[in-house]
Amino acid sequence: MRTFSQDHLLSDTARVFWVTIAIATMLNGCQSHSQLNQYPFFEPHRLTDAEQFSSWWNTLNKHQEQAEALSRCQTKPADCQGKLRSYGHVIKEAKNLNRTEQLELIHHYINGTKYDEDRVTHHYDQESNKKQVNRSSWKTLYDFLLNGGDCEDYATAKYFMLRELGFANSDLRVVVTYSTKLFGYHAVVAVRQPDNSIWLLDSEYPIKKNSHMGYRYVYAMNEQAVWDHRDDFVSPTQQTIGNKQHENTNIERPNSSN
Amino acid sequence: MKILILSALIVATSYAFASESDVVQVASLTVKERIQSIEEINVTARNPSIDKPANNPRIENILVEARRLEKEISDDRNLRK
Repeated sequence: MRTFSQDHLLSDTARVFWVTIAIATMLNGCQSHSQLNQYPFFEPHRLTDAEQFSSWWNTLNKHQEQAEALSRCQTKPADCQGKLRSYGHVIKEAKNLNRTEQLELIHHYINGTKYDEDRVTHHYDQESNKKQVNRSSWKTLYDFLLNGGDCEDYATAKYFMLRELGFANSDLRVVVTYSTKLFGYHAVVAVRQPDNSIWLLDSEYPIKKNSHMGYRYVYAMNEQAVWDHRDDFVSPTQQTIGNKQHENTNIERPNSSN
Repeated sequence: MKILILSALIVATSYAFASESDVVQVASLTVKERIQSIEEINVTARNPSIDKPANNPRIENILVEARRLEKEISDDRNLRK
C-alpha cells in the first residue's frame, strides 16, 4: 500500500520523465531540421567546369594576374593603401593560427571592408531600347581590398584569402543562396571542415557552424566547377545513360570507403 | 525469324552509334541554358554586419593592428595634403 508521499513522488518523477522526453524530442527535431538544410556539399549537383561560367572565370584569371601586386603588398605594405596595406599583416598573422581561428579572422577582417554596390550596366534590346541590367559582377581580392564591394564580393574575397592560407579548393565554395530572411539572393562561403561538417561564412552573421536555416541554395562555384542546387536540376551525368563515369570532383562523402 | 534478327540488328546498331553523342549534346545544351540563367541572377546587395569585435582576443588584436595600419596610410595622405 502506497503512502501519499510515495504517490506524490511517483507523479513528480513521471512528470520529469515526460518533460525530458518532450525536450529531447524537440531538440532532436530541431537538429534534424537544421541538418536537412545543411549546405549539400556532398550531393551530385555538379553542373560543369568553372570555365563555362564566364564572369566567374574572368575573375579567377584576373585574380591570377593580380597575384604579383598582392604579393608586393605583403612584402612592402608601406607601398600599398588602406585595406591592401593591412592585408599582408593579416595573412602573416593568420599563418600562425589554427584553422578555426583563421576562419574567424578572415570572416571578421573581410566584413570590416567598406561597402560598394554593383555598378548598374545597360544594354540595348532589338528595338534599341535602353534597358537597365542588374547583374552581379565578381570582384578580385585586389579590387575588393582597394575599392570595397557588395555581398558577393565579400564572399569571393574570403574565398581567395582562405585559398592563400592553404585551404584546399575542394573544401571551399562560393555559394549563392536565396535568403528567406533578406528576401533576396545572397552569397556566402561554404567551408568543409576536416570532420566533414560544413561551416557557412555569411557577411550578415557570425560563422554558421550548425544551423543553416534561412537559405535556399541556388548555385555554387570554386576554381574547378559550378554546382546547380536548384530543385529541378538533373546533373548532366545523371542524364547520361550507360557506363560513362562522371568526372570526379575530388569530394569524398562522409563515411565513404576510401 | 529474319525480320526479328534484322530488327535486333537495327536496334543494336542505332544504340551503338547514337546513344552517347545524343545524350551529351542534350546535356551540354542544358548546361549552357543553366549557366545563362545563373549569370542573370542579381545577388542582393546588403551591408554586412561590420565592426563586431571578435570573441577571441588574439584575433581581435590582429584586427586592431590591421585597422591601425589602414588608418596610418590615411594619416600619411593627410600629411601630404
